[in-house]
Amino acid sequence: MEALSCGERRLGSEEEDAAPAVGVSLCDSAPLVWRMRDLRAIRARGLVGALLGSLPRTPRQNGRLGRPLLLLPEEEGLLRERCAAAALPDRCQDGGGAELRQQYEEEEKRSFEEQSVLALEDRKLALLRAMTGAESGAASADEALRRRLQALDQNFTFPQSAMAVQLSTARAGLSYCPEARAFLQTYGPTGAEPRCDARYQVFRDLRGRGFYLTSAGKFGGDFLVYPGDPLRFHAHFIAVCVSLDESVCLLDVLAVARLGSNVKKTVLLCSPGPGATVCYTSLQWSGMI
Amino acid sequence: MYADFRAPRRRLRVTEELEAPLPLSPRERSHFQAELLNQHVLVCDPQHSQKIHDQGYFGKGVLSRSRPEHSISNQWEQHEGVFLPVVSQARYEELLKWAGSALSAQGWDEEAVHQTLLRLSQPIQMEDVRNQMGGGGEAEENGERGKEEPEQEGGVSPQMKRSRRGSEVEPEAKRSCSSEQDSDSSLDCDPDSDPDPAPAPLVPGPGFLLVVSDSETGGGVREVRRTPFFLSEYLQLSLEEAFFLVYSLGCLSVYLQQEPLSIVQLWRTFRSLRPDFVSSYAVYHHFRSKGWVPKGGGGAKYGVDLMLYRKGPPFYHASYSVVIERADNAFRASPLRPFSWRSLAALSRITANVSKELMLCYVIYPADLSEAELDSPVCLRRLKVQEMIVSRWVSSRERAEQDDI
Repeated sequence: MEALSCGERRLGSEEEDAAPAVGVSLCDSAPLVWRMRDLRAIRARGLVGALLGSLPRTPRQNGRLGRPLLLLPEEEGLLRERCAAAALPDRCQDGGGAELRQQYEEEEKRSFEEQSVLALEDRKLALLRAMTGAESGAASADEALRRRLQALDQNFTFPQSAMAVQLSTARAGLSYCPEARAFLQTYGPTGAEPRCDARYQVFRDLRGRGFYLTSAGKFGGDFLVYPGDPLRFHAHFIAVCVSLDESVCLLDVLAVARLGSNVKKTVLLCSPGPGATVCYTSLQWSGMI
Repeated sequence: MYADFRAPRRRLRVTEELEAPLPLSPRERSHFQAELLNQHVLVCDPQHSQKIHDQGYFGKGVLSRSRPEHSISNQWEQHEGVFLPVVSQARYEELLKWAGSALSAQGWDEEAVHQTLLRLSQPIQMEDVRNQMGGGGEAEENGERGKEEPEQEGGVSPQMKRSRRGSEVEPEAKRSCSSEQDSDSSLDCDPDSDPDPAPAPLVPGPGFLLVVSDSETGGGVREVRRTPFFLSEYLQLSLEEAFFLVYSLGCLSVYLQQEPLSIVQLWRTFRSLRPDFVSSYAVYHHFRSKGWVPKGGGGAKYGVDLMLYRKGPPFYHASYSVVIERADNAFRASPLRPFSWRSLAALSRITANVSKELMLCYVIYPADLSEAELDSPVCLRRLKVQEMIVSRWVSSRERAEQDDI
């Protein structure tokens, strides 16, 4: 068993308590965090979460994602336990949907009208250039040109699908939601009972030692354990949580140990014991580094 | 998304040739013999074990990785025209110690053991070696005498080199086996597993080896000594393989304490040894009948029950990793191996990493199958087998391929 240690300065508890509470929006029991200030507060506590949203400027990729941040149930539990987060009621989450939509539609219509006028101008100019460039006849050319321009005026339609749509990349409303703020200030977060399942105990223990934890569904484990911020370090461990009285199939242990060795991480079998202690067993497949 | 069937990957270095698998033509009706010892099925006769392994890749040598090919040393050298195995001084002394403890276990007193070991570890002259090679025929009779004679144990009676593989007796585990074969002495020497010798250097019988003294690193002085201790190697068959050879091919009989077991008795014995024997045998039989070679032992390396090879392990890498599950008609029975998302994700990923395909093989039991029916192999015809391949889909990879298109 390795001694788990991490050389990171932990936030003093006074600093954590003084920080304002984080508002968590629940979407069908998935805890989401939308506001930048809240995301920064959560990261400062050493909780990573997972970004889910797409970025407006680069929508067709999932290498870099944007807000909202999805919290692990254990992360949400930890925040609630430390009285640092509260679930926002539904009316705050809507963010004034109906009026915003109307506003958006009006803006779109205005933009469409402007764009169709501009498009018509563009076509006329192009036609002029083409006609005057091609022929240099005097009267008949002007006559033909005038007729063409007239036809264009009458028959030109600017299709809706060709309209350029502007996406706002900084939405003012997201960070500033007065209702949510008021709610948090009035009611405040209530401390919740710490959960007693194995995963939560292990999460709390490892976070308390200063490790950063993310979800390890890809690796067949429960958590990926980083010695520092995940943006700066690779994961060292794959934590698999089993309770002490649970029987595990040997083939499952072999599979996860072999997988850990293939991806160069140590597998940790974590079992919460009596009291607040957690017992760790590390596995490595000898013969493979 | 369509099921993707990939061709089996050939191994880089193939050093064997494929023989026709069992069963052979009706003229050569082979009949092999195996013993059921301590809940394992062992084939002791080296000729049988070689044939069983070569024709269908059944079983595994107990001292080797796959084929029973244990030899006293991996390194053989020519020494004055004779090909001998080479062992280090430390290994030689270890073999001497084993010989000594084997003799003491037989009840010899310390003085006799000590004397015998001293005599055994005298250096041998090459003329003696060559003489004994020549006089192999007479020495064969000497070797068959009883165990009390001290000259007979160790490498004393080198028979003429035969073409069969190693088969020396390992006393502690196989004592019961040797007691059945009364004619052999417990340290009887059968020929070591000799590779085919080059025509020029002769290979003597197994009784000799070259001992390298490991005093200096460079030049080790080599001395010819007798081999003090032999390890015999058996072929171990898994329960499914043994039952397949007995029941489906009819070329093996399994003896329990010198009594051959009938098919039904064997079925019941195996079912008592392993509770899921019916399911695992049904799956084994299913894949054998399709021409795959299922190997059970190596599956643990990849976290599964069986690996499927095309033609055999020496030729191709395993194509499928099979997990055996049981189900009733409505897929409701408790599974043999309950998967959680976590364990299935790990298994699927490691299978993809080692370039195999994960297959779940469901054995479907009809609802009205009674315990009495399960007591005989006739119930196999009522079982159905459903194969399901599980593959891993990575969304970002998929999109990258589509973008290329």
